[in-house]
Amino acid sequence: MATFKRIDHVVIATEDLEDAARLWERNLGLKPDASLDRPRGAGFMVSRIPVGDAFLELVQPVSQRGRFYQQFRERGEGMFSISIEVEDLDGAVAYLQEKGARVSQAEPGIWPGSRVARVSHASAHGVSIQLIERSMQ
Amino acid sequence: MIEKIHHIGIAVHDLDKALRFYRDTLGLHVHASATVEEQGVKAALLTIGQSEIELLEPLSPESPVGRFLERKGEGLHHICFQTPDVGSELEELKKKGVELVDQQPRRGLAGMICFLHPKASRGVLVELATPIE
Repeated sequence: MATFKRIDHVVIATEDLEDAARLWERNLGLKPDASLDRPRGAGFMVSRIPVGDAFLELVQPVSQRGRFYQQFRERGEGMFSISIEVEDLDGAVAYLQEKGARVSQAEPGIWPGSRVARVSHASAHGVSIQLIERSMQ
Repeated sequence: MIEKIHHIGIAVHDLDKALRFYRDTLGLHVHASATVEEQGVKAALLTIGQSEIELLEPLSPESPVGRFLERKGEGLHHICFQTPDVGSELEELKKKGVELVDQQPRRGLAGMICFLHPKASRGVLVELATPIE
């Protein structure tokens, strides 16, 4: 069976990335170390905040098109999804599909050297789970 | 000081059904389970890397997790960060005027814990925990 190794990151949706980053720093002293504006043509901006061996990703929609905006409109601000690191993404996708979970095909992630796939929240008790394979750190 | 993500809390209707996915399909090890009457939950803690997934089933619809399920349905409920001293962290937060749920640390599943108000983090319910050895 596939190995689900660790929490790679937690996505937090926000209407105001700058204010959200300010609050995470004020409350817990956590600061972003990298940001991307509309990565791979996606309709959002993202800032990454390291915490332990994982990250928080603050994501703000900047376009009314795309999957992220649709879900953001339904669910509002707050915790949005979790990302779990796997060794072998294609193997993990095949394994979960065989178990009856709804999983998307693998695609390149927004960060260099990553590939990702999405497990439907309907298969994971309401949690949107991303699987991520990192070929370089 | 924040050391790491201690756990991610997930609200579910039925703990046994949720374990079929998180334990049986994902293969995560359940290292503790408990019923905590005062918090109105039945919980299971599953190890994932250096963190945990905490599955929470409400004991009644009036409990905080019960009301969350009623309002939003199953899904991500809170994120807990580990700190060496939850008491001093809480004092710092009070000085800064951060909106809190708990004014004092209390005993929780993860050790000594406190919750910040979701308003303090634009809609994210944040817990801080110092594990008890």
